[in-house]
Amino acid sequence: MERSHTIIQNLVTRGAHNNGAPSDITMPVVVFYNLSDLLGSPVRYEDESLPFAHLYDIGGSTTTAYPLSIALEVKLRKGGNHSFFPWNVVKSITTSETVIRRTTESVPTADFWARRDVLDDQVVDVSGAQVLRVNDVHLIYSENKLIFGHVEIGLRGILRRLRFERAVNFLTQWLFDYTIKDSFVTWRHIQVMSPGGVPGGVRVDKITDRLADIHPAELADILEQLGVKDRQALFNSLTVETAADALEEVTPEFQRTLVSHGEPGRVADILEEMPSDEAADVLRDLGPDAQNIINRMEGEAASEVQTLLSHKEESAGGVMDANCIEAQPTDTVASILDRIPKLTENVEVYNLIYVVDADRILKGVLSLRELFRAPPETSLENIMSKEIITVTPETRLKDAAREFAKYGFQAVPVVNAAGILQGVVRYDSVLTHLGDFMND
Amino acid sequence: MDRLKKWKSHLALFALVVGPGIITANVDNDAGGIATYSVAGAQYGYSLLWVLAPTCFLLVLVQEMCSRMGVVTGKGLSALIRERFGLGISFYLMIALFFTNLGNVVADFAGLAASAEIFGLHRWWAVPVGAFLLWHMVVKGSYRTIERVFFVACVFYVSYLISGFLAGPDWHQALRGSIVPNSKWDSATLYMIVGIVGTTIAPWMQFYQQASVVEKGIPLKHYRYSQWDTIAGAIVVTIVCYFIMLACAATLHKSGISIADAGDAAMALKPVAGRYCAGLFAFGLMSASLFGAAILPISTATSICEAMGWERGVNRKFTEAPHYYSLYTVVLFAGAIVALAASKAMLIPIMLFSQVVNGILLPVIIFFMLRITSDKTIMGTHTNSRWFNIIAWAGAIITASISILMVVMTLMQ
Repeated sequence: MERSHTIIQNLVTRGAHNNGAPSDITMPVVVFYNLSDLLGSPVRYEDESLPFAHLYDIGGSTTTAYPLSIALEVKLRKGGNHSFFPWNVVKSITTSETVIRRTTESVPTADFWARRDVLDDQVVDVSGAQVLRVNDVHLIYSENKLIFGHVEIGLRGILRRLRFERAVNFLTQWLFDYTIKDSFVTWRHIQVMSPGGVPGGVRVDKITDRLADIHPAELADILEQLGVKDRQALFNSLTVETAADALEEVTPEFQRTLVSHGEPGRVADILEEMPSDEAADVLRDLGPDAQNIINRMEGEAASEVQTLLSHKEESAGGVMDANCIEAQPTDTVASILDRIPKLTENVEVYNLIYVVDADRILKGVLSLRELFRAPPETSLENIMSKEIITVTPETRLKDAAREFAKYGFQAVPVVNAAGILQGVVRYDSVLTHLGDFMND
Repeated sequence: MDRLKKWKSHLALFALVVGPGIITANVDNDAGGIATYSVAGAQYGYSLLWVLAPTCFLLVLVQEMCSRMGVVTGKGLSALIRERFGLGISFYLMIALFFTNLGNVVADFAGLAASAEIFGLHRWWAVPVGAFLLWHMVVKGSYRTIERVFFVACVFYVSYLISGFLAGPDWHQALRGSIVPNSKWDSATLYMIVGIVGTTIAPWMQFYQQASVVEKGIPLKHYRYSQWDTIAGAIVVTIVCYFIMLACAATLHKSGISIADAGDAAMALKPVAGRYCAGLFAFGLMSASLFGAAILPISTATSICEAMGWERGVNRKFTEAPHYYSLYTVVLFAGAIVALAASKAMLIPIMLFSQVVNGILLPVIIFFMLRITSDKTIMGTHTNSRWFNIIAWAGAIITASISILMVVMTLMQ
């Protein structure tokens, strides 16, 4: 785990665990606390000598990179009920007691609660794109502000909370001359999941703030590691494009759950963003729900997916991509070059041009490279290669793979018995599917 | 026509969801389980068969909660316990789980050794080869392949059904024993009953079933099929238990032969029930032992890693999840080594210790499960209904008191 050094850390005087009282008036005192040491400590009013409650939870506000505490939750000694206070009533907070003023002020709504949503729960580490379980939270107390600094994720946090830290440290020191190190992540990189609760309520909208720039593959990793509610909340908060990218990356099991838990209209929008063969793969395992989603997809995308689903999965027809660049034999190189931006829209196989006649019968193939090198006024039929390796929709994937291995294609065109172009099978989709077979 | 279509779609969905319940229930019939049922049949004949139906009901009750928690939260049981009850409790719970599971693995390798020797394979061959095969399968395989292998392994339990028939039981008496509880009510009988329930509902099962439901990613709206899976698993396991007891009752009890474990049972069946019956029985024991020895280490590693927040899962590589694979390897090989090195006399105190921890752990876990499944912030609208809660608490109290009784009786002996 990466050890993060932060400005706050430099401010902190480590080891000053028990003393919150200012010893030197001229310098602001900065004290470092572990959340687990604060929780459960007695809470009293300033004008009383006996505590009336125990500290139960601390609520934070995410308006700053390092959240500030804005609320307290205490458990009353009598009856065990919980009550809430705004942070500004706190006169002092130490691991041995918290002193507060009496107040009639209302309690602000916290964005997250440290115990309920963070301690022992899962959070997302945006820098490492992983989901971590939090063993403790590091807090910085300075000028009567309590700031959330890091989450502790290592063995040391576990040992300290179990009160084994000293014994284990002694042992490892004695045996191996080694001290178990802190391992923590700065709060800048932390995304709290399922935040809210009493008295806040769930605030899903805050989730994506820090996840906006993550690579889809990493987003997929994160989605796979979260529980159902957090996963779905995160997935629903993504834009349709990002959701489509992430959905392509997760394993089939997770595709199924994400899609079947989602609202069909939104799922249809997401699937439209994906290549039709990937969308068909997602829908194939879905059972009766699939039709419901296809019905909400836009016409062309829906019919492409429908065609793919009508073929067997392990055949070329089941994995083919209906979108490819098509041109007429009489088109000139110049006319194609002019239309390149339009032709390559929504196309995954962008460097091969398939030449078809008026009946869409496949006549030839040429690559972009050949296109660029030819004189502008040449018509395609003069430069295309007419010896085309094709497969039919019924060709088994294993046989298609053999063609790929033999000729080193990036894609193979699929034609039906009449020679009409149906689509192309991409190298990567054959690879994905054969990978599945090999696992079986 | 429409009805047929409806059934087809039900079946298709069921096929997607089926697995965790049936596999968990079948692993439950591992070497330790088979030993208990065989001894019960040999000592008490047909008279304890009635215990199985209520046990089946309790099993469904407990396991249903697990798969519901898994489907609703997408988290394993140990993660939920950590989040709801904190680090301290989870840590000690995991230590207890580690030792009781290790005890079960030892029993399974001992079962493998016993059954292999019946087929003339030396234990010093069978156990190391078995352990390496299992280790290889998990470290190199993926969850999907492993689930398939396990699913096929379930089929081998049919051998008990056949050996039950081959033993030629007295069906009239068997039927009466299954319905009328007319056992003598002395402390030995009670201990046997407690043993049957205790071996059928074990703590690792809750962790394992919930984890595999999560791993499978079963969506909430298909939860109904997951319930079928749980019920089907419990029924299958009960039928297998029934036939094991039947086989031993029809032969060993009738001839007055007493046995101490499942290996004994297979050996003793040979002269009274014939070669095939005994061979099938030993074959069942062997596959059950392998099955148990494969799943328990996985379950242990998964539960502990989830509670402690370590990377886990058979789909990850060794370097990605070092804690997971270390735990898995330690439990598997420690189990194999203890089973090989320990004599029969040494195994007995180990088994007793494991049973005691089992018995203490189960009520605690069931209590946590009931608290979690009643918690609206975790389960949303899928909390236990009032009636379910009444039945579940009653069932849990019965199961808990039975397992505590088992601990007390074990310690007294």
